[in-house]
Amino acid sequence: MPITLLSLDDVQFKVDKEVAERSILIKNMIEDVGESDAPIPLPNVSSSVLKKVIEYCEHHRNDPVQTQDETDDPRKRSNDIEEWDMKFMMVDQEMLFEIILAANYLDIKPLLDVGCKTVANIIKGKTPEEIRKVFNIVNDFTPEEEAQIKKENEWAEDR
Amino acid sequence: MAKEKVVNAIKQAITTPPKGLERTSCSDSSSQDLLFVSDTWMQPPHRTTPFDLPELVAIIIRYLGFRDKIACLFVCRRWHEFFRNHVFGEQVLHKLDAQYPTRLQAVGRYARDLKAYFAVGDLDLSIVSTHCPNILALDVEVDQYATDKNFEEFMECMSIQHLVLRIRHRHSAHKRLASVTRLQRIKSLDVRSFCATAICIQPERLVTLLQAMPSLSSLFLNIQFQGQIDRLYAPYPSPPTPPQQIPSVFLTDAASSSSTPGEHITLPPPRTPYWSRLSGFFKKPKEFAEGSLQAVQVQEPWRTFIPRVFTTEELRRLTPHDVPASHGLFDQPLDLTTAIPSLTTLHVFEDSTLEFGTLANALFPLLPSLRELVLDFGCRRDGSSKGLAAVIPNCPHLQSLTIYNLDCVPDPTDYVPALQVDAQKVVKSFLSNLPPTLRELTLKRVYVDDMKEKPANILLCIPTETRKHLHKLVAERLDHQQAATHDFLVGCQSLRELRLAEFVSLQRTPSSPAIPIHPPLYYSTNSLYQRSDYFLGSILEPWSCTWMLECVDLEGYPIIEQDAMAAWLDRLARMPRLSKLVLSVHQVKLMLKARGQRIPSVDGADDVLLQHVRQLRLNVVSVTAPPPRINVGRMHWSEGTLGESELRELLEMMPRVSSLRYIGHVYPLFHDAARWLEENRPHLQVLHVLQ
Repeated sequence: MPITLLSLDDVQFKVDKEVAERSILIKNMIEDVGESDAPIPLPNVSSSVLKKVIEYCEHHRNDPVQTQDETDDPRKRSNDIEEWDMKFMMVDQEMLFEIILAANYLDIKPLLDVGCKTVANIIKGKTPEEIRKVFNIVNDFTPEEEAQIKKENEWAEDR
Repeated sequence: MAKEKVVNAIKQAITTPPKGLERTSCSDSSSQDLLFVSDTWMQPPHRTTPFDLPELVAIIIRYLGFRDKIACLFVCRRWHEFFRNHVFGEQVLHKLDAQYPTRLQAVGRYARDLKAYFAVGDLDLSIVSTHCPNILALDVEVDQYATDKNFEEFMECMSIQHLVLRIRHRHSAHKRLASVTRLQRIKSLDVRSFCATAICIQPERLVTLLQAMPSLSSLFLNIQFQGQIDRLYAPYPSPPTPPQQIPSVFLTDAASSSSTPGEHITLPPPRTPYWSRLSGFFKKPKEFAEGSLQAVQVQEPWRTFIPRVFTTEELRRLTPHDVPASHGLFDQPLDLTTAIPSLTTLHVFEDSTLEFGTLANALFPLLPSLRELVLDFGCRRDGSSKGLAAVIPNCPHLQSLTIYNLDCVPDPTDYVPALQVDAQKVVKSFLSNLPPTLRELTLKRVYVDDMKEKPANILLCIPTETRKHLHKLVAERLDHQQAATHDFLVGCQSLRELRLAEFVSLQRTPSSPAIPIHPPLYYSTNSLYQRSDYFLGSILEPWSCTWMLECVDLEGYPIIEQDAMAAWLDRLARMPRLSKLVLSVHQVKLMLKARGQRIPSVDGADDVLLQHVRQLRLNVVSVTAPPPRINVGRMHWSEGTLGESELRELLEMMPRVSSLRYIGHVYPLFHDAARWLEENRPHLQVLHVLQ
């Protein structure tokens, strides 16, 4: 039975139950309320983002469910991203952040992980100035504070 | 008209400011209202980003290397706040890490969790206390390099809530423990000993220790209790032998001085007394001039110090009872009336020499809030069940109970019939009183053999009401009358986790020489390979908990017969919530074999069952293989690995498996299986897990 999802801007999306249930939030809602034709409102997700999220869930509909202890396992923390996921994440920064926030809200752990890995990969190898530039962050340290932090981290320079 | 409407709408839009615009009135009446445009309105609205949510930043940080994390510290103030806790929050000190004082000096104030993997000395304690005042969790090993005095002062000045204390030096163990009571906010304490000879403390000291830490909620003790506990029954210790001389030097508080030269004593500089719960305190500081007298009398209630100055004459009159010549917490009379209401978790291991009965009678009445209790009687040979009667009536909120080696007699030559009969009664009575609040029960090596022909299953001693509410059952090395186990499981309505492992067995062929053991403490002969009757799902009454089970562990349980295995698969198929399965490689092989076999005819339903089993698809996401054993289930080392075809068939049966775990040193896959896995299921993890 298809499930109807209603985005922030009142756009309806019909998806298979199996696909919708990749989101733990939606899965719990369906379990609590029971199946019905009424659309499930998702007031924190815009239609453009929801469309992307559904695209991801469609592609990963048959993936095994991750268990909590595995996702927390440091041995499984690899920055490798599957090819399809990497292409999926090739979006502008605003959309990337929106997808991460939506994955967090909808409780889709694999998507959240891929999003966070993508952000981590952006940060990797960059200097503080480059990071500021990429994420449009203003340096609000005073020179004294910056000197203090530098001093705090002198021990780390040899590592 | 339409045009007018549009104009009015525009006017209204202009006169009604959007959010961020405020209308202010000018004091001059002739002037028109002015619009005050706030700064915030001029700026674009702030969009939430993942960096605004600490939980998302925590995930991002997981995927960053050390250098990148350091770079992030310099980005802005907000990032510095986020990242410093992740980068510096946990500090690990190693013996060869000569840089650690510099590091702690720089960033120690951010540390919340500190682990020191070497025997710390006074200098280390001093560095940590100076630079890391905000530590909440400490894991530390103390040796003779840290003096008692400095260790206690260190404890005094820290706000540690979670402490793992590894003690090496057995002679000062009780002093270390007493020092821990200086931690006012301590919530969990884990004490371990790992010296060649076991560290022992007197059992009554456990009571005193707990009473001195009123905020403690969790205690793990991996040390031995040794000695008589007669004092438990005496409200006060017997008076010590009077010393030959009255101690001549005492310490006191200068603030309360009312000394008169000549007649009264000279006061030392103010100093916190060493022990908080004392009725008397003595010390002879080197710096005091010879002949000067200082005194302090510290009295109850706890942790209040009532300095009192004694005149020389008074000092002479003091009896040993007034000022006992002692120095510590444990020299106080045992208090058996002050409860410890905050303690919810108690784990006691290595209890090899304690007469548990007397301690239990004294201790458990003081623990009304206990929820989790683990008692490991180690290698005790007798009498461990004596104190059990004190547990249940005094701990009405008990939810999790684990008992290892209760009245275990591992060596048949040690068998003492009278003791066993006595113990059986106690254990059975204990089990029959388990409260309905209990949710988790673990029993390992608990024997209540009634030495009659038919072995009893101790699980059946547990009341029906308690069975109904159990969430987790772990039964290892119990007697194993299978029909009784089946009966027990029928009555478990809420069970989510079931572990049946290592049932007692002494495999002997009929021709092997009889082992000279006393009547059947172990069920030997052929009972090990009795049919695995309680798995025959279609024949026997179903277990009430089948649809609830999430984790099933059958490590070492011998399901030998193919039809029994097929019936077990049928049971598994009726477990829709099952996500974790623990099976030995040997059992996996039997399972796969059973899928292809015909089920024996049982009231004509065999074809349906056979089809059902062949189409079996389990929702299992994690399979764990225990180490292969030679002596269990007729397994051999060579059977400890899976080939490619077996692995494929297993994954066909359990398509959602995302991890294969194994315990022990034998990698569970043959080369061909490992290669196939790498090529076809690269995301399926093969993980080694600790036992």
